[in-house]
Amino acid sequence: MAVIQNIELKSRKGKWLLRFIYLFLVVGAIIQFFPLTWLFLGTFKTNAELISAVPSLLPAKWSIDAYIEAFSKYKIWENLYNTFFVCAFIIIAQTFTSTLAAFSFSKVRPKSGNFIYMMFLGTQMFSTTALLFPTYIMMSKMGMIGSKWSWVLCSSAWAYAIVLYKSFFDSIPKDLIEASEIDGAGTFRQITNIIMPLSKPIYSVCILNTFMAVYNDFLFPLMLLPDEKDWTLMIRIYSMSNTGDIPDNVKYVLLFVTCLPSIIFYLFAQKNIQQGISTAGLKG
Amino acid sequence: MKTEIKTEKKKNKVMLRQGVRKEVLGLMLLLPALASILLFKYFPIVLGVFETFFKMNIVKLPGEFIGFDNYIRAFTDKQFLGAFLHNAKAFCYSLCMNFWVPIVLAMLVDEARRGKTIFRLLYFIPACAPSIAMTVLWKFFWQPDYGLANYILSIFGIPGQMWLNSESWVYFCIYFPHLVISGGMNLVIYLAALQDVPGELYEAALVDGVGIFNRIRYITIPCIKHIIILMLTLSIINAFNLMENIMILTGGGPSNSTQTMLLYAYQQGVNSMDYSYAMTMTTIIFIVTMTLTVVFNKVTREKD
Repeated sequence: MAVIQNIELKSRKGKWLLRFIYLFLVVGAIIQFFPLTWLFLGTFKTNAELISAVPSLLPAKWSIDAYIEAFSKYKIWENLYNTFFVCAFIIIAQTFTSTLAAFSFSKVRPKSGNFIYMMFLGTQMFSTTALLFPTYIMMSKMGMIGSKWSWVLCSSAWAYAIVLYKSFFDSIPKDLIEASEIDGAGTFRQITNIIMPLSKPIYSVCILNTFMAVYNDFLFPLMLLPDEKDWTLMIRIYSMSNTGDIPDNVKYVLLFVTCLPSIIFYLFAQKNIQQGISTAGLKG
Repeated sequence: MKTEIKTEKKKNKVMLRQGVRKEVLGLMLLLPALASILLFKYFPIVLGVFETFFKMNIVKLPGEFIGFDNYIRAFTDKQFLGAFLHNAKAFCYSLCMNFWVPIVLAMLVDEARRGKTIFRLLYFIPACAPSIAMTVLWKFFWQPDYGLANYILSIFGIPGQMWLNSESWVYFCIYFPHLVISGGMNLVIYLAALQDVPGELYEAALVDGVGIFNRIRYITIPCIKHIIILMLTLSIINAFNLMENIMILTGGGPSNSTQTMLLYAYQQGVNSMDYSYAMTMTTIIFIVTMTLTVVFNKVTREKD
């Protein structure tokens, strides 16, 4: 709710204050948007233009050479494929494990459930970095370094998603489950025919959260996937930021291609994500 | 009489069977998640802490037992202690430069009478871009020869800086991009919290003749205090786990002035293959972060 009341805005001082606020917000928004705009416009520039001492915002001549070079010479396709491959399998694995676990916590309620639930919650305290080296050692013992499945396995369950699913399933009345039981539906049918159709919003939130987490993950793929052919987009842009062999405009294209999917996904689920952020923020 | 006892017994039996069935079914459903969490979360953590007491031999785990030597080594390692100070410095920068901006911006967006959703979207979209990609982009901006930052300074006639290569500017250069990267996301969180502040309080305050600044101080801030504390806790955790940005922007330089604890641990692990020492340090970092968070939460709770 606004601090400044409508009555105050009628006075001259209030009007100026509001105008000043708008001005400030517009300037702020321009600053916020500047890097992305610069990146987008930079993808159409030539390399000489990007490293000239007097930069200009708009490209002198719009060319898509950088895109052609990036996609033909630097194998972005491969990186995109790797990223989406891993994202897809982690999403499938997490949806499977969390749906079953959340259903058990919320509707079956075994006696040992409380303890296991607390155990799941405890993993939220582990930092990625504390897990990094032991996981690496474990995976190298299992001979799975360089296999994308090692990363999929590591991320196959996420306590945060289980908590979100559970709290949503809790709001589905138990009567529905009991009624279906009398009608002779098994647990599998209960999940696919009752729980899942009723929980579409939480599925979209959790799948998006998982996608973003995996898409932005950096340290795990860096350790687990040393081969260049397995690199995800994040590793690719990290490694290219350290080399001088690639022209700057191609680097810009790589960066822009990396930014695009996440921005599109966020826009798609803008409302859901913001709800997710605020509930996650409140729950800590 | 007899039949009653019989039905009672039958009932008990059915209940018992149902209880067992419930238990078995529940655990069966939990099994995939439980297996994954035990194997890929708890086992590595335990393994990691266990190995800190050994001089690790990757061919023949766990290696040679050396007791607390790794911990003693870490606490006498000047580079590690220096890295702790760098983390603390990073936290100060994030507090002074980044922390308050989204709060102020969220309040201003909340004041907008028209276009509130548009402003929220405008601040939100740039924050959706992956932080690593944005950090790499800012590396171009800070470039001393042809970077945008120096060009903008030159418009105003100010001589160019070395930015990431100068020890006095480097922390500024690391945290400035975060106004855009994480600022937009935090703004949305604060904005959501501001929606829950009851509007009647402001009306009542206005009737009582309370000025705008006092209204913010005595109504807005206390109402969103829990979110502010939460975000502050998160920024402590982030500052002491700082690594990815530094790896991209400076790699620890210039002259190790931005080498954080985690980066040092990573370098020890990956470059020197000294895994048990690296894990000792990550364990220490974990304990330090936890302690700071707990102490901070205790202090803020007591004040209430």
